[in-house]
Amino acid sequence: MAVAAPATTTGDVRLEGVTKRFGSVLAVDDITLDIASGEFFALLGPSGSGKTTCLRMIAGFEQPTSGKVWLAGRDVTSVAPFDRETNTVFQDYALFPHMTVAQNVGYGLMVKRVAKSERRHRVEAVLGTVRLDGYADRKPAQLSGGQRQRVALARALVNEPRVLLLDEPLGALDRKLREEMQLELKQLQRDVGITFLFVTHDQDEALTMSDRMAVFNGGRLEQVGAPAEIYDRPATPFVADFIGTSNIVEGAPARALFGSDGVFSLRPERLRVLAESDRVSADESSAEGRLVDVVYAGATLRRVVALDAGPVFVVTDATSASGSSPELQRGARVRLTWKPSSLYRLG
Amino acid sequence: MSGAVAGSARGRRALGVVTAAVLVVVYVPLAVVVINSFNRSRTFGWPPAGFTLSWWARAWHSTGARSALATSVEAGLGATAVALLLGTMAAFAVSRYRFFGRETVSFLVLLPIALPGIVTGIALNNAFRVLGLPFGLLTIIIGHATFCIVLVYNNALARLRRLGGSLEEASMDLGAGVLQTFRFVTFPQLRSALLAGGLLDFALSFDEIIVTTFTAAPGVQTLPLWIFGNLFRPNQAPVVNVVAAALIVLSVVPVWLAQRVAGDAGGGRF
Repeated sequence: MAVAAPATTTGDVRLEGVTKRFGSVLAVDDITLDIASGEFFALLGPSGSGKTTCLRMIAGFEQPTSGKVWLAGRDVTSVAPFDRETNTVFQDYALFPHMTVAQNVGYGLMVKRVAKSERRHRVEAVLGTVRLDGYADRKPAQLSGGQRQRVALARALVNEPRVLLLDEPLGALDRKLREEMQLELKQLQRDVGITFLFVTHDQDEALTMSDRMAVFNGGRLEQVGAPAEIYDRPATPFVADFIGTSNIVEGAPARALFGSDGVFSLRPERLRVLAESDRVSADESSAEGRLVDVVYAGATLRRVVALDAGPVFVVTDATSASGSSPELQRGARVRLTWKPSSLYRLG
Repeated sequence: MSGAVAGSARGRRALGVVTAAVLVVVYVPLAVVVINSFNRSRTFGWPPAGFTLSWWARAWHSTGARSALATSVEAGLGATAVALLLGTMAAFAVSRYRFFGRETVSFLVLLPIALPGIVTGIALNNAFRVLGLPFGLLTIIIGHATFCIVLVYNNALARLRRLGGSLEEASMDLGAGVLQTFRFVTFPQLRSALLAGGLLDFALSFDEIIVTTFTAAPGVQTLPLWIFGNLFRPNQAPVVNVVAAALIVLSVVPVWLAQRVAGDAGGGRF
């Protein structure tokens, strides 16, 4: 753009005190968020948490009730979708069923009156990027789910947007394909070097793919940070529980177990289950309880322990690990141990 | 078990017989009309006395029938055009916007086709008199359009609801303005629904007689009115028969086309 960006610009996308109401429903509640140029950024949260509404406000499909949306230093709060430097990959792909793959991908260039020869050239190139060479003349109905997903990606990328918005891009794919596409998307983002902003309710997806993520709950931001930061140091009990699994303890049981009031989180993979008679090493804390459930889940063994102090803890072990005692039966008296450094205080 | 199977087989046979009987009752009279249009006997004795094309030749040269046919085609095209325009616009409004009275629109659009034609006819006749609108082709078109709109409206509304808004959002996201989006995305998705509605409308308008009676002028006759007027004039009976036979063929074509168009080219979403 020829217009000089104001000095206040911090990144590609900025939401500034954005609130969105649908009638009496408060979908997004005063959110401020900065996304840097070239970031792979995830908006993560349960359904109805406001993450998709945020994405739609950045794309221009919704207008904030109050607050501002900035794109590359330009206030686009009331700019129409077709005048924004964003392109979207829709959850249901929204491919035009009456057009071929090439026509779908070339659509954005066609409506912007890009010359036919250049159009063909760019469509061909981007179809190569998403590994769909040779599919140009197919109709969307003749493609598999994964191929449609790539067409949707190519259709957005060919316009060379400043920011690519992805709304649950992998939601409609089966698990195997989804894991493949996660890596592929990540690679693609590194190759094209533009900002990717994607919405997901799948915490694994967010952890795997993003450079940074924002966790949404009830229209508000719970925490923004890198995946490791959010996983290891959740800011709120909600984040601790939503990202991975956490054993959260507060009140009287916290006093009994950890000798302090407050809210504590212990990750299931940081706990060990021992027989009651086993010796506890000096650098570990422990608590006694009863094994109430054992679930074998292939790569992991998931065990549930009801502690005498009250709380019920989940413990996961790699099935190949040797440190824990896998032979313990349901109903056995057990001892849970953990390193004090694994204990994380939420507040 | 075997009794149940035998029972269902017997049931199916009975159903087949009833179906055949109904089809015979509906279609044999139509076939008789077509056959009689080639019947040499002026009194249509059965079996036909012999084959002749002279009634067809006479009908072809009948100026009354030809001008009535022209009026019917004009009225059909006019009413269809009005219905396409208003029906599509109403369907868009109802499917894409929220406004006061939205739930009532479907009812209001549907009502004219449910009302007895004679009520619509009298009401329109009165209205045109009050407004001082001269009776003629225009009044016929308006009269037909009142009950034609609903077919376009229903077809378009169903299609728009099934499409949802995401294709249009995708189009705008890719840089297309409102008009480009309609031209390249919405209309192609809507086309077959509109064609089906339009063809049915034409067929409906083409054979309408009751509302037409109240909205036509003495000099402007549609084909059904002409037939009705000439049916009991013995000299004209064979010609009426030919016109009726031609009408059967003419009516089948749009309905058949409408069904084909609505059937395929539905266009799912991806």
